[in-house]
Amino acid sequence: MNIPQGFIAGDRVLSSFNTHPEWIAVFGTLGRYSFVGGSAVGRLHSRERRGREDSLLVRSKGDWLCVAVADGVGNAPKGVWGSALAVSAFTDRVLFHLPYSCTRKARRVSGTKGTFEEDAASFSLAGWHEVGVLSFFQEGEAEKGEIPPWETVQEYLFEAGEYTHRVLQDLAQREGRDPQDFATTLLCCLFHVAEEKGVFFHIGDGALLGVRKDGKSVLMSVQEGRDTGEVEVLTQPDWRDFCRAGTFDFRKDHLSAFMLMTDGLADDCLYGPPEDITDRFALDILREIRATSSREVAARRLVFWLGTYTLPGSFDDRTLVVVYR
Amino acid sequence: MEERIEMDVALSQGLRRLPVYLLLDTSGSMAGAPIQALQEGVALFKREVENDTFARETVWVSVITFGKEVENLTRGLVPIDQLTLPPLEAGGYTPLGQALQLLIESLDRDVKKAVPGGEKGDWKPLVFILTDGKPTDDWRTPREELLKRRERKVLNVITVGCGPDIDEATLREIAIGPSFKMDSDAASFSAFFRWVSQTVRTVSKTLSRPQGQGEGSPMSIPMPPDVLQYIP
Repeated sequence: MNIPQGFIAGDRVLSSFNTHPEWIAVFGTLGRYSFVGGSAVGRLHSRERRGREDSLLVRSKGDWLCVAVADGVGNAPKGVWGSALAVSAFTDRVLFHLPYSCTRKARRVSGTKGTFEEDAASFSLAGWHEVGVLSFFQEGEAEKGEIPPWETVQEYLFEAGEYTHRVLQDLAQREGRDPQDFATTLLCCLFHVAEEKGVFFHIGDGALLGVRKDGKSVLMSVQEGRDTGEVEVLTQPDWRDFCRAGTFDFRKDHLSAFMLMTDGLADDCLYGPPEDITDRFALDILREIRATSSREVAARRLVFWLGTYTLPGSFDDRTLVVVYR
Repeated sequence: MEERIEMDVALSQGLRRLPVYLLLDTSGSMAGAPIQALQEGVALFKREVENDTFARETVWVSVITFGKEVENLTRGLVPIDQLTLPPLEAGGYTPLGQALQLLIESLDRDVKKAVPGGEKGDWKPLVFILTDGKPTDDWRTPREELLKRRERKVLNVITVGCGPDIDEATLREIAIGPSFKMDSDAASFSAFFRWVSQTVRTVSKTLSRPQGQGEGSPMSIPMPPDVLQYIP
């Protein structure tokens, strides 16, 4: 098959020089699911002209949607290289293991199927999925591949963790640096849009938040014990002892959305006062995204908000990806 | 119709503070120029931290003095812009143990722990102990408690001995965390407090560290000035 089997939207691996934008916004659809995400440089890195050290990546393979966010930690000299490489290597490796499987039929575009929405300054093609900013992705040919048992899918995540740890170590060795110079957290969620089930892998801070239909939010993964000020990272030798993993069922868990975020945002929405801040935050985000005329505009608004809201003591990079029905 | 760009999203009203404790020896041997230098040093520390955009948002300070009396002059933690000290007076012995006990009480009472869905919690406190003589009370019990907290990685402590009356052996015995020795002239106090300010400013910008990098790491603490001699 020589057509694309998946899309990719977000931060790319950095090579010889830094091409990481200070703000990045992504959006798109897969099956009945949409995603909107943004990552913005924080006040501190902006002031010091260090650039953004968070990374985000959303990619797909058939019905699999894979979302990853990472945070280059603690002013590590090569943190941005670490986080960009982590989201790229991990998601690539996970999807590599999975057979291509798409439950929808491909649709060809014709001259009558395009619409232009002047207000939203965007256009769309009926039957196609939009991905990224002004890039469009055609759905793959229908092909039924077997979904591996979920335990196996979870093993793929750990294997991808091993792989990414090695990739970061190799990079450090090639550059003659300490692997901790590339220190990065990683939170990745692999979601099957037809089965509506997902698995996640998480090391370090940041959070995976589920939003239930009744408006309550559920912390699906978060780092505990933040009073030490130390963050577990994928580059440390004993990373396996600290990574968290789990599964979720979008329908059975009565979810309407899930959100992946780095600590720059998590610190501002997971802790009170007020006591119900997480529920209020999640509902506000969903309301704002859904009230927007297009996902493209929603992504622009999201990254603008991430890059500009001010709170005392909040000056880290902020990243959020929302997946919703 | 144009869509507004702003989003209306509820966010936390909590603040994650960086608690900084200054434990200052005001015993009789500090009389004269040293106590004056100490007073000016604290004022310098306040100015330098206040001038830092990021540190002034997060740094909260507590000053505990030990001499004729043992007092928490700030009655707990106060924002850096509200730090005001009465004129410091030198007198009495060196009740370091009581000062450490006051520190423990304040850590338990004033420093908040992070609870997801609950309080935002504070960053790991940073403690500077400055003394010019041998302790004259029971300091071993509270020191043991603080050492345990340091081992649990919930506390950063730096101990500095100053003046001719404190030898390396005593400093090693009382030290909690990295320890240094310096003279008790005005220039040394000034350099010390400037370094404390730099350390606080640096830590306030590097609040999260990859696991395994302790407070002695060059990424979190600036190089001490020449007047501070590291005691291994």
